[in-house]
Amino acid sequence: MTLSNQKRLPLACIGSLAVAMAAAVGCSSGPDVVMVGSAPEVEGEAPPVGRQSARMTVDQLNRSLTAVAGTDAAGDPIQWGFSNVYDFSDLGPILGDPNYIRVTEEPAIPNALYVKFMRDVASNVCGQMRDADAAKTPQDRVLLRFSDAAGQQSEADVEDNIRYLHLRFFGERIAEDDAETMEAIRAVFQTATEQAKAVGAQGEEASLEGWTAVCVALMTSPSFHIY
Amino acid sequence: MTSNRPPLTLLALALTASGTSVVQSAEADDSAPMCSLYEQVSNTQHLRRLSLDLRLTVPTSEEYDALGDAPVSRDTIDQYIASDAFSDFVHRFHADLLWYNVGNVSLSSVGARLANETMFGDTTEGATPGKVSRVALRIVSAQRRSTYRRQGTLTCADFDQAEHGYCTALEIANQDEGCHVYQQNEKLAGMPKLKLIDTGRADTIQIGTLEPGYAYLDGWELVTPYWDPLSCTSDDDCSGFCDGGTCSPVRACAFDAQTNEAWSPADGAMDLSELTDENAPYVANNCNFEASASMAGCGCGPNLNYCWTGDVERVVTGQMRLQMMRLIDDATVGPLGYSEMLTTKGTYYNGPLHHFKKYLAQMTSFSQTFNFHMTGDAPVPEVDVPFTDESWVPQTRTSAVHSGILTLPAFTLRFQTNRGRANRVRTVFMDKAFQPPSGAQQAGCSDDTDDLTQRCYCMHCHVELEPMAAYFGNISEAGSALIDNRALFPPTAPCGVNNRFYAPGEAGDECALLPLAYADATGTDAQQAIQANFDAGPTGLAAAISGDGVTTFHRTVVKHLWRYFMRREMNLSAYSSDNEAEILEELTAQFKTEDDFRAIVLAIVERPEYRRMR
Repeated sequence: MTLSNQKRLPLACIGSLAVAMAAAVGCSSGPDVVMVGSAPEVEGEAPPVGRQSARMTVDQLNRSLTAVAGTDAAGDPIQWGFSNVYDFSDLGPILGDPNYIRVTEEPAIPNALYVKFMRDVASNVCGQMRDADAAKTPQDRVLLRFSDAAGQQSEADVEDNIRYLHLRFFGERIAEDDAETMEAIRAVFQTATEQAKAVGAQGEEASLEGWTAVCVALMTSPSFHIY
Repeated sequence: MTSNRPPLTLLALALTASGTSVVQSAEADDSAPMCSLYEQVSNTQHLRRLSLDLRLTVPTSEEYDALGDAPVSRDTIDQYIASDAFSDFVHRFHADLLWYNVGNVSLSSVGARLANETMFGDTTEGATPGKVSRVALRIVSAQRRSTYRRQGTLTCADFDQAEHGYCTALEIANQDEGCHVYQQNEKLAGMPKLKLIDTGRADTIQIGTLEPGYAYLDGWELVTPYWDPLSCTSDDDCSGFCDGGTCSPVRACAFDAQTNEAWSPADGAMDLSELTDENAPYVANNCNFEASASMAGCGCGPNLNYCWTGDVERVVTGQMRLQMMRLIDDATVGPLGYSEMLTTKGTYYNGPLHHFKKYLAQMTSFSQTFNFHMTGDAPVPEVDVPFTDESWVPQTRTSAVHSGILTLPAFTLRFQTNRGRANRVRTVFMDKAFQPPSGAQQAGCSDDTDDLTQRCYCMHCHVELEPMAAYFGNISEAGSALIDNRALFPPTAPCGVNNRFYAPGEAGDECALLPLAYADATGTDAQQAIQANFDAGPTGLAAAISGDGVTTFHRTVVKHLWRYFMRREMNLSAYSSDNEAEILEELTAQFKTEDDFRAIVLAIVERPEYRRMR
């Protein structure tokens, strides 16, 4: 059996949560995905179909956020919440978390509502992570992990931090030759840092704003939510 | 090589926490790297996948660091499966199958449900007519309040009943003031002595020579309740007093707080003994019985044991869910084989569930749920286990009817009809679903019969569903109580006496126990099977799907697990050259032989399909 180009998908099809939503996880269901590019054909017997990609359940997301975000300055796990008003106990059912009374199964697909709330979640959780980092010593920080004792980052520190956060959020190391991924994240960091400086932030504070923006970008990426 | 991760060029918009927007390039070009469909995920992605599926969370940075560049080791998977977090997956997986949440089931009747209400001021002490700000617990039921105070909307007054006193038999006989307004056949020495209170209400029913607006009312008592007291910082937080940070005792209306365990039957009073199971905790004349709600001498008993609050009900339904999870734990990560989940007589009880079975279950109206403790249930301890003691104790259910999770309240109350119970088992443990036929054969059926196995259109499903439902016939519908005591629940009874459990059917002039309504030893195969399955009980159903040589149960659970871990159905199409029928047979054989949930999970996540990208 020969694997044709039609059996290969562009990586870009899982490049953003919004796009993944638009494709309605077409990456796994196939027919609606636009095929672009070309790839060499593979000869030989095709192995059976493997595991499909799926969105984290709300329960998995809730637990994973805590694993990724670490603890606040008081040592308590960081969780999504605004003044104890909105959190997963309130909004989980809206996002599809089953209570087994009215909602008995969770489709676990990215939809518009999910994407909207993930933006809220990322802004809130990453803001908490920034505040926690600001109160922690450099070696205990989660967002700004690589820096000197004064919190200053060299170019090498920035690159190390990007690699570290990419692994922490996505469970994937950036390949040595993957300049595209590195530069994309670096651009987010630098742009946000510059904008923070433009409104008066200095030094470590500006860096933390930059890493907060990276955090939001990573946390709203489908690579975080779809596995 | 390039990473398998997507390029971040489509991270179109990233917001900083302060709201600053950072717009990035938004186009993916055609030369972007491609992901092969049949590529394995990287080692770190494999670890993340395993962690999310087996522990419901992503790995920590430290765990990625520990992995390094190596593949995920068997030791790591073993650690995941042995971890406490694996139980979280186990619970979620089985909740998806069994939907064990009974939080919406009403267990308490208004006749035994307590709620706080503002009391009337004691106008004999100069209070302004009307209600005052202090509250006391009182039973919600208008019938009970009417029995106590002759009007269903009245509550007690704000005076200390202990100071005002209680009626002696002589005072009742002499019809002394405060002891003269009790209704016939409901008089008990020790009942609260009532005070004439100006309620300030124009609608107060007038009794005898009372002035308009006045009523004889009870006061309040301080009671230490059986449930967990509320935390508090001052008396203002409590209906009683704030003592050491908790509200204890609570203030309850004197009628409602009565501690009599039995009422005194007068001539013509009903005899409840015919309804009772000889070993059940309730007896004739017992105040701890739903029918006592019409007796003015019965209140909520010692420590308010016989009554519910909303919080108590939530605790009990929550513990029913945990009771189910305990049994599932035993069959998955505990000492039992997986299929024993369906057959074990073992169960677990704790303080809330003991209290429920000992005191509260028999306070529920028959028209709601029927959860009486019966012979053959886990024994109710003579010495009370505190309601606040939520530690689990193993118990054994001796009735032949009891069968694993199938007879736990979290199952029978979640699926309240025998048909519903059968349908759930058929769906999740037999891999079958009822579907109406597209072109139904309508020969040999009737449009008139109430026997759905004989009725046109209905028969196509019910010819199988009705015999299956009969397996659950010895558990009360809309309830969790055993109804296998044939002295209490004979197969037939005169029609009209007990419509809760009996219905007209094939039993001639008499009504039949509901599950047997259409049983007929000389009838169709379905009608004949009803009696046999009723006698076999849930144990018989468990044997039919998981007994010796039967793989239905294990095969179906393998398919559920495959769907969970692979995020897709198994490909079992006979027309597909790469279908997975052999894998299903292989996994089913292993699961049936070993009956080990952890082992079958390990076998599935170690399949090469699990590591592929898609």
